[in-house]
Amino acid sequence: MAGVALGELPALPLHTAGKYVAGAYVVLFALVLIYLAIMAIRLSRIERDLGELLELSESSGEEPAARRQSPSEPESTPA
Amino acid sequence: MERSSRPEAGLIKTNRRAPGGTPTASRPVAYGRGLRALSISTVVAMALALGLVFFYAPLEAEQGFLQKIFYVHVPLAIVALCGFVLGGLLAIQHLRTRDPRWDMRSYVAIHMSLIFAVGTLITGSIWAKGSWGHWWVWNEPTLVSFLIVFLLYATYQPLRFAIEDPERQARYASVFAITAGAFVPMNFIAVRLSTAYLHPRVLGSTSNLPGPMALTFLVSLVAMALLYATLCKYELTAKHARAQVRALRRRLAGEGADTTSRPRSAAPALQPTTAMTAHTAGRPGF
Amino acid sequence: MSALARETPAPQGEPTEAARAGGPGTLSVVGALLRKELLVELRTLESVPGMSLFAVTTFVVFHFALNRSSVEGDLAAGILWVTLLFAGILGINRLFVADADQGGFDGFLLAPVDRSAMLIAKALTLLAYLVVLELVAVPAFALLLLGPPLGPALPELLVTLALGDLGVAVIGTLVAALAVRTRARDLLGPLLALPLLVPIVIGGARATSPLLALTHPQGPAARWLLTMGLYDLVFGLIAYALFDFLLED
Repeated sequence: MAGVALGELPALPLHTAGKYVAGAYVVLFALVLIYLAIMAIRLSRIERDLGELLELSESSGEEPAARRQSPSEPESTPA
Repeated sequence: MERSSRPEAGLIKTNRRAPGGTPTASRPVAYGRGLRALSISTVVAMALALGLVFFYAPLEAEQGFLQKIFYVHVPLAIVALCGFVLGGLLAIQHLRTRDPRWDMRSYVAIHMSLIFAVGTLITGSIWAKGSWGHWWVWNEPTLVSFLIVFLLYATYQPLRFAIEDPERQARYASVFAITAGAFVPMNFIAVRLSTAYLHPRVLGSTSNLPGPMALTFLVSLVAMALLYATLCKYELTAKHARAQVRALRRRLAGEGADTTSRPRSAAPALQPTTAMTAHTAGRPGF
Repeated sequence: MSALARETPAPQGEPTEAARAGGPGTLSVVGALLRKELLVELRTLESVPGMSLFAVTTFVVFHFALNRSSVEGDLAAGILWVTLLFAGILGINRLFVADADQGGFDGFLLAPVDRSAMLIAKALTLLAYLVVLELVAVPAFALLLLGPPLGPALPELLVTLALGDLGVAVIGTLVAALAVRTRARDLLGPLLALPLLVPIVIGGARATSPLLALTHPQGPAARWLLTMGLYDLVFGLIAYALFDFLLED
């Protein structure tokens, strides 16, 4: 089935049209990747903050306030 | 008080009682629940769509290979438009319930739609260049409508930023979101009317699509919608996590000790500080 | 501050008990507010002279910018509508400034009246400003720039302008209320208003253009008038529904 579809595929015209189509799809890809990068930065910032808070809680000798706060961590983290 | 346009502060709602003894209206929410399933479905749908676009959909008679942009440009456009309208609907909910979480959802929906709108404009421009040799054409109503809509929603963030009081910021932003959400379809119609009598649609339309193309378009649309939903959920989860970290930091650092260098776009101070004080005061040993 | 208004347990946006019980009806409140607005404007002459002067000056600028002594058709319609639009924006900017700066909102909120009365009154005020503006600007336009004679086109032009004015008034009031209590009120007002007014410009300019044609002037196509009318109606309803939420403080 895939072979038949591939067989009917005309040779990709690598002149003008191909550039534009590629450009358009790259734009979509780039938008998603940029967003991914922004999220990665945020995630590392959260991780850093949590690390600081852990130290803070240990050093001040109090019960970790996380126990006091109702459990509201996200169930699943994107693996 | 620090100014920001982010409506994150109202996100933290836990099962504690407000000073009056009445329970707060919300319970803890895990925004990330279901995110994994959603992102996997998005990947599958996207892969399927790409496969269909390049290996199944036939070449169009007039524009040839260039027409393939249609499958990314138009779904982006449709999802962005629906996202703007969705932002308005969520804002209606916010005004009705005054729950800041609706405002957060509205904010994220509009933000994401704005990004998709920029994507629409860029891909549309590329398509115009390929078809007509110009990077911009005025006789393509989708592009023109999107330019206007983009210019309108680009004021959303500055509007939020210009209001300091978080409750009023959320309220005014919701009024804007509803007005703009109603504007989007009407603007589309008005622009469509104004160009219809000059030139026929140039960059392809969604009506009268032959079978395989229609299927491919549908799958692309679904994939784009799933992408939008995934990114929105992702954004909400991240904002919520950051708000939780802030709350945690505040609780550990004690009252008044405003924490280390926060960037200017930080969330405003957590609103229910009195509830927190009442809460912590009642706890022995704290 | 708004404690008095909140004492009467009424849901948002509906007439308070006092109003329903025979307190000042909305219409009379609108009348009172409108009279106040127009009196203030007559005494201070803040908005209308400025708007009119701006329009005439803009025509002069257009003459030099386009290097034309007479315009007709599409160009004439465009110049007229753009000038009226920008002059209207000046009025929009000033619409709520006095209320915001001098506590007019607080006074109004204390009164047991339907808050939409302020919307209607302000919109009618803006409408009045626009009408006076056009009384100056349209003859000036005919004098300075317009090629074809204005006379035969006048009745239909007035209808088109009226529909456009309604749209500008409704959207202008909503946007003005939104922008006035923000930091960058002079900037945000126009930025919000212009995209929202594009359909009005589309309808108005497309409708006016055949009126001002040099050869074979024709009446405006009904679809544009219909578009403008529908737009006015929809946004009038939306503004009416949303205005209360802006006044809550």
